[in-house]
Amino acid sequence: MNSLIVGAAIFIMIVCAHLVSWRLINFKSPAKGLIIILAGVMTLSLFLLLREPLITVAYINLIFVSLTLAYLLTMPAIESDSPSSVILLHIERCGEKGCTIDDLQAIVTDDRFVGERIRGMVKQGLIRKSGTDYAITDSGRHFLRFFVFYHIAAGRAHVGG
Amino acid sequence: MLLIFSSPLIGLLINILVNFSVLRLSKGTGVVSSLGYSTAAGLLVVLAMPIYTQEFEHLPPNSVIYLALSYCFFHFVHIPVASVRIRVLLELAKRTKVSEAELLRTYGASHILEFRLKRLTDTGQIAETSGAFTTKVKRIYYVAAVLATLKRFVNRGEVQL
Repeated sequence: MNSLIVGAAIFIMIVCAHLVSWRLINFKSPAKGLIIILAGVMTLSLFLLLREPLITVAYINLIFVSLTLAYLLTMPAIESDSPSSVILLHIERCGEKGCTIDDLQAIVTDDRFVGERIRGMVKQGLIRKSGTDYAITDSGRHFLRFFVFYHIAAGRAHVGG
Repeated sequence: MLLIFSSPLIGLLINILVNFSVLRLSKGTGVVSSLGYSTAAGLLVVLAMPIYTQEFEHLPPNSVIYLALSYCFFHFVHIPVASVRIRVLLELAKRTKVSEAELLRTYGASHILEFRLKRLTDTGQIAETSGAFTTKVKRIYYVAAVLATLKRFVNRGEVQL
């Protein structure tokens, strides 16, 4: 139980350090920032070996690393707008009378949800722009394969939404 | 001792195997439901392990590690289903070159809005009454609100929600 408390406390410190540095430094890649912080904390955690046996330190590392990985996968939702989140927040704001499809069309726009992602992927090298056309790059194909291979192996072809 | 520490990883392995089998064998089961079943199956293994080892002290941290790793697996499986980026890459992978206008015709904001509204309605998050959408269950809304707060924090309040 003590390992859980120590591991969870380290995780909370990592998240706070990451969010504060993200706000102050305005990271180009917040994920890289988090990985650097995580690597630093894992190195510092070796000092725990002075007081605790190796197995306990490894266990504490397993706790905060798994929690940090979960946070890492939640980060894209903080970085860019998720359409479902924006729709839910807007519907809630409309109150009891509700939102019509026209209200929602005003906030779910091509530029906000597709254009922004296209520009992001050009910057990341997943796709390239030549003139007005876009094409997928080799790293884009590898990225795509990594995520869809499981679905294809499981016999589910429908992906992307 | 090793069995105690490896129980979250064994649970994750069970989670992956059950999920793959459900997706492969039960075509009628949705991706999210399959993840619900497989996460529960893995959790049962993690919870049952102390009965075999007679070591209950590590049950809370093991459950936390298992749930964090399962959350990562959930994202890995769910991202291709819901991600706008993956859908754009899939559209680009089908052809050698695509213009932005063509891409938006195939997969633009109207598609995203229609798809998300259907999913949010099907999962009971929102309800439609005579053309007006209202919040039905607030569970995912709260998650969206927390993410919006974090987004506002890291962007120093300069966000459109």
